[in-house]
Amino acid sequence: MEFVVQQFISGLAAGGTYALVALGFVLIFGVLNILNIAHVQTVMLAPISLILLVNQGVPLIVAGALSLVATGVFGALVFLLALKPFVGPGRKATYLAPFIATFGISLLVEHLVGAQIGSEPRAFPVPTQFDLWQIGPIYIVPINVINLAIVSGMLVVLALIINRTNFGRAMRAVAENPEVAAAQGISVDRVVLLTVIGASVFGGISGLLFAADSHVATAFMGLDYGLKGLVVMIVGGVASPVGAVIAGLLLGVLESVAVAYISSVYRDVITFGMLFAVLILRPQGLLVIASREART
Amino acid sequence: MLALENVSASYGYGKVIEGISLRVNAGEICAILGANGAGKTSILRAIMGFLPSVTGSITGPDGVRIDGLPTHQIARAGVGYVPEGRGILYSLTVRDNLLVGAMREGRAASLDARMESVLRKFPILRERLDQDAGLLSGGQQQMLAIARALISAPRVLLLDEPSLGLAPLIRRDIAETLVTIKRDRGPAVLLVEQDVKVAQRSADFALVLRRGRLIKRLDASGLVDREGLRNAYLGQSA
Repeated sequence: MEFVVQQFISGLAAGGTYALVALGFVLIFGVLNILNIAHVQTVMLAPISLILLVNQGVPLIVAGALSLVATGVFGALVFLLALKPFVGPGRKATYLAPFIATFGISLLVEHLVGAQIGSEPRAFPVPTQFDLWQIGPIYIVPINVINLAIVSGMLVVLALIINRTNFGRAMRAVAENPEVAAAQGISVDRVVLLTVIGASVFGGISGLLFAADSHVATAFMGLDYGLKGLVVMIVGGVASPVGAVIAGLLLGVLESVAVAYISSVYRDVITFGMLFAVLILRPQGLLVIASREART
Repeated sequence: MLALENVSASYGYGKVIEGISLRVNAGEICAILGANGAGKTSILRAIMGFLPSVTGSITGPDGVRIDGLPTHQIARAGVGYVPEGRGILYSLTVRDNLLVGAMREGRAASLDARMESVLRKFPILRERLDQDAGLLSGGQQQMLAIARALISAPRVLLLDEPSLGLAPLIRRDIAETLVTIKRDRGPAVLLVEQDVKVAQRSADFALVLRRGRLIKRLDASGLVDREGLRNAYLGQSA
């Protein structure tokens, strides 16, 4: 029983981190109605930036903050190069153009970083507490608790921003009808830019948490973890933040149980098996928020 | 004040309006009348910067040229817009729709007073403030669309078929609302309307549009002359 509880907590922590990646996808899809594939690389850029900065002698906390700034800048560049030319009032393009453009940026960044640092895993220099915490008969890995606390805090902050602030209202207005939003004095470009930057920082934080948990980072981790975030987004209901959180936690727990009771080899089988099962049984995802086309 | 001088516009495949010149002063309501496809909505969309190709000059509040500006800057220059189909944000509450409308006016200090002012004009909205806007009736949604446009005290108000799809009693209420706005020495109003009765009740004058061109100006007395209106619509007295 104690082992099940431990696996459950470990799964929740990993699932919350998947949910953070997925929320980045959801936020961008929500305001733009397009998929930003380059978002997967934010998961890689933050830990790799942190490793490079620490290797240059930058203090860990400063390096962590700068790595998140770097992911935000990356998000801004993706917006300027691959999203803005195709979206917004008066700019008509199919969803394929920004999809391919962001996919191209994703491959470009992955290979540039791979060429610079190589394909070998780099040690992640965040000192994590290896001593287990014991609560009664249950042993808990501290990084799992830290992950859960950070993820929970970020979800609360995100919910407050979306529901209680003018920027959140502007985001929801742009998501539902960008033309009407612009007619209320809202700069659609500014809202989209800030949303992409915020989503990228979410991706960066999840990348730091993944690396802190596994103690390594690689140039190719973006696609590994980012694809899981994408699966979580689709399983959750595409544009549903709550659905992404539920699907993320579900995936994390299922993976954790599979690794404990079957084999770690089956981790990805669980991920994509869950995707196919949901797509067959409930193609609209676990929680549905109508797409922009369906709403208008 | 709103002034258009020789404005033409297209969606990229031929002109939808051509050589439009008009002027509406503060406190005046100008109705644009015309058959389906005449270009009435396109005039409003050209003013709001939604059309890709617009020529001529459009002057908004304070004599500022607004042609060529992005839509959000046109709105912030003091132009309120109620689009065809109301443009309600269905997933937001009534309160959030009004707060989104208030973003055109940067001063947060007067927000409560402005909210109170529109809720006095549309008391039904006060009862529904925390309800999703998508759950309102058609008439209530139209009230919300107009209230959202008015909350930032625009000096130019563009209304696109506010009576469309509404019951006759609600149409009369809409017309009365427009009269109230005019009585308060409110904004210069450009009203696109298919329902001549709404225009008759509220407008100071009307312009008749046919195939993208203004073909006739009717003053208030011309609006009640049924024969003259029919001729104007059919283009027989152009």
